Formats: sequence, C-alpha cells, structure tokens
Amino acid sequence: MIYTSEALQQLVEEFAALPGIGRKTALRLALHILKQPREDVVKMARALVNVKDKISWCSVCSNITETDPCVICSSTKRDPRIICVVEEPSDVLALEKTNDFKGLYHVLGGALSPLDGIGPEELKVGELLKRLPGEVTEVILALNPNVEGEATTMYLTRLLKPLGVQVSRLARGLPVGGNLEFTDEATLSRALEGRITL
Amino acid sequence: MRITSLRLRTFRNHDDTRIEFGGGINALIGRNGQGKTNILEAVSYLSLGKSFFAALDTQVVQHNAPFFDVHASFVSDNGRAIEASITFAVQEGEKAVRINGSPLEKVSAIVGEFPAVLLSPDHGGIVASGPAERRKFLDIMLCQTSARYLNDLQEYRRILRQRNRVLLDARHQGGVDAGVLDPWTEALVDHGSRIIQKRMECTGFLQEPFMTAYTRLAGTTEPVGLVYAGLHGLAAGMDAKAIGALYHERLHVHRHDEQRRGTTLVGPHRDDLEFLLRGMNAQDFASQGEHKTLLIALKWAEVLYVRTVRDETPMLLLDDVFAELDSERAARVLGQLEENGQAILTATDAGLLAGEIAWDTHHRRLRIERGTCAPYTP
Repeated sequence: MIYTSEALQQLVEEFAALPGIGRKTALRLALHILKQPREDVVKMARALVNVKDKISWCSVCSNITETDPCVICSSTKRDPRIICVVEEPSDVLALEKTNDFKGLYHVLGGALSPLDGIGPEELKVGELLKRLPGEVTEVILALNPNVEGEATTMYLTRLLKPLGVQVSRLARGLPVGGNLEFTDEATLSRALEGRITL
Repeated sequence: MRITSLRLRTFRNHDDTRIEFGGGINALIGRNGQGKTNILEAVSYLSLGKSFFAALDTQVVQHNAPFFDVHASFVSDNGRAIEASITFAVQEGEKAVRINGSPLEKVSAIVGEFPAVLLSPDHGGIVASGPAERRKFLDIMLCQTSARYLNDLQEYRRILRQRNRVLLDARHQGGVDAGVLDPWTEALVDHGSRIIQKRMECTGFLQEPFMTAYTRLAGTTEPVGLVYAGLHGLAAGMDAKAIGALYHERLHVHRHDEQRRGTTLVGPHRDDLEFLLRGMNAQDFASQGEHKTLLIALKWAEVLYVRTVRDETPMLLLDDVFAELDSERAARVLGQLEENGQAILTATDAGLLAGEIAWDTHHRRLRIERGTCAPYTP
C-alpha cells in the first residue's frame, strides 16, 4: 500500500502498534483524526503527553498517581488498618467503584508467573512488607481467581502470616444478578464447595 | 439416548444421505472407503461438538462445498424427542450448533448432551501403547461427565508448566528458593489430588463391569482387573485430603531428583491405568485378540460409567471392531450388544456379524455404498 502522505503513514503505524489494534482500524482512526478540528487534536495530543509527564507511582502503595503519596494513601478518611492487595491499578478502580472499601491499597504490578519470568522480585512485594505491620491489622488479598493469582495468594499468605496481621482473601462465588442456570459448571461447583451455613 | 434418524449434507463422501436407525444394533455394511466410518464421525460431531477422527473441520467438508451439515433426531431414555444439528461454514470457519431449533452460545455446550462411547481401531493403543493413551482415556471420560474435572485438569496443566519452570530456573541458578517453589507445589497438590481421587473413584467403578464383560466376551474365567497406578502408597477409598498428604510426602521424597532434573516427577501427569490379565500386566504379553477383547470390555465398562453418572445410556459406536475377532468372540460381542442400548457398528462383510441376531426394524443392517445408504439384502 502506498500512502500519499508520510505524516498519515506515521500515525497509522503508531496506532497499529497499540494493543488490540490492527492496520485497518489504525487507518480508520488516523483518517478520523484528520477530520477533527485542530484544537481537539491538540487536546488529545496533550492528554497523551500528560499521561507520561504527570503520572508516576505512589511510593507507598505503588498505584498510579499525580501526587506522592497518592490521594488514597494521603486521605484522612481512609482506614489505615486495612490494606487490600491487588494485581493492577485497574483493580483499584474496580474496587473503588463499590464504595464499600474504606481501607488502603497495595498494587503488586502483576502476579507470579515463572513462565513469563515474573518472580517475587518483579512484583512490589518488598514495598508491601515495608508497610507491615505498623498500624495494619488486616491484609485482604484480592488477586485474580486464576492459577497465577492463586499461587501469588499462597505465596503472600506464607510471607504475611508470621508478621501478626490477619490475612484474608476474597470469596469465590456466583455473580450477583446472575442466573444459576447460566453459570458455568466450574464456578457453580466451587460455589457449592464454599457454601455458607445459615 | 438413541439416535432415530440422521441426515448428512456435503459431509465427507455423503452428498445428501438420510439414515433411519433402529433402537438396537445398527450394522453399516460396505467395502472400504464407502463412507461407513463417516456416519460414526457425524454422530461424534453431535456428541462432542467435533470429530473423533479429524483434527480440522475443513477436512470433513466435501471438496469445494461451502459447508457441511449434520442433522439428527434423538430420543432420550425417558422418551423425550430432541432435534440437534451442527453446521460448519467454510468461509466463516465457524460451527453453529442448534438443539430443538435454538442456537447454543458455544459449540462446547453440546458436550454431554448426546453421550456416545466410541471404539475405533485407533484405540488399540489404549491397552498396547504408553501410559499417556490410558490417561487420555480416563480424562476424556471424566471430562464428559464432570465439568469440575475438566477445569481442574486444565488448571493442573498450567500449574505444572509454571512449577517446572521454577525447577528449571533453579537448576540453572544452582538452588531452589522454597518460598518461590512452595506456592506452586501447594497448587499442584490441591488440583492434582482431586484429579487422582476422581480417577481412582472411576477406576474402582469400572472394575466390576470390566471383569464381567471380559469374562463373557472371552468365554473364560481368567481373572482380569484394572489398577490405577499412581503415587506410591495410594489406596482405594482415600479422600482428596489423604491423597494430598501422600502427594506432599512423595514430592518431598523426590525433591532432590526434581531439582536435579528440573521437572516435576510425581503426580497425575505420570500415572497409569494398568490392565491385569492372569495376574500380570497385560500390556506386556497379551495377544492381539486379547488386547482387542480387553479394549471392548473396557468400553463396555465406560458405557456403564457414563450411564450411571449421567443417568442416560450412551450410544455405542463401534468402528471395524469385528475384523480381528474370531467368530466365537464376535458372536459373543453381538450377543452382549443385543441386550443393551443402541449400537452403531461398521463391518466390511456381513459374514463377520455371524450369530443369531434377528435382523428386523429393531436390529438393522444397512448397506453403505459410495456415500449412499440402503437396506442390506444378502
């Protein structure tokens, strides 16, 4: 394919390098940008640069932030006795949306996966240990319910328990508002295993 | 579950074939390459959502045809009539499955709806070749009857790869960090002991019907048996917790070997299902005919297992089973089939199906010739 503009070609290649975007979509996006008013494009370009310039990692919880420590870590309304450990910043956003958790977070930056070369040193485990026990009484492990998340939960449990804090994990169960009939058998089987006496 | 009618369109060498099945033995008779096995394959599509034989759906579509379509009517054990179809479109590369006219969200949802047990010449390896084939036999049977088993097995394989990587890395770095290895060991034992328990439970169930079937088919009283050969010290009736404790112990015993070789040496991925004949390991010395008889007896036991767990009699699909049996054993196999649910079998020669079967509408003989089906006339 021959581009009649080198600038366009460059933009297409930038878009195509993004995850989940193929060359066709990249071209569509680039042509869309071309049609936008200049000020909108400048706004977008600035947003892109701002992401890099303004965002850094919180020195306490390793979440993404513009201030250090982050707004959650420096808030006086949060309960510093409880730390919820998650894999990614997006998990913090998900938990924040519940409005039910008032403690602090710790973002590991992933889960143990030897096949991908991720061991404890690649995760923010040392940073977590530095926060303990202090005034912390409970650590909630909220990792993904897959093989890697489970192994990481086990790894952290062994590390944290001797420190005299209560260690808990999220329950495994059924999606709320769902239908038993349409739940996959493996989830249902585990929910059955973890049933609660009333 | 039995199949009452089947229609194949541009499927292998069948342009448009319609077959009506009886509730008993259905013998598909024809020379090699006429399309007998293709009919069994079509039934397997409705049973498993894929072929027992071909690796790719595209291999099954007729040359230059845009799709294949398999449509069948079934009747369940309690008399419920069910229609099912599976269509593969070449251009889209997609399969669509429908039950009673409504599409299923995913093809795999059809697994277990129309249970079938297949015996084909390819399965000769179960008794004769390596342990991997025998583990596969158990795994396929258990995955069809337990979604939890399938899930445990998939996760076990992933955990195993992760743990092996830790061991391998440790070998290069000259020592394993227990803190890093232990979580994977825990996960391995957790999933592995459930897999072992399920396999042992299943082997225990198969034992009795397997012995009974072998005795009847072989016409001897030679003792036969099945043994799940796994962790040293494994005993029938152990629960997952006891198996887990044993698994930990065996891993501990082998820990130096594992670190030296950089791989996990004990667990369900190394276990075996042993066939005993006259008190010895049948893999080593059984004759060709004995192998075949052991295999048929095993499949017989599988039918009973599926029937008990699913509360539905599976269809029995026998591909070219009679070729290696002497006429006496062949007659006994037919006799056994006659008493049970529905069976569809293939044979190159009606003479192989000697015996005293009353061929009528319940037990049928059909001639398969160049992708067409007609009643068989001697």
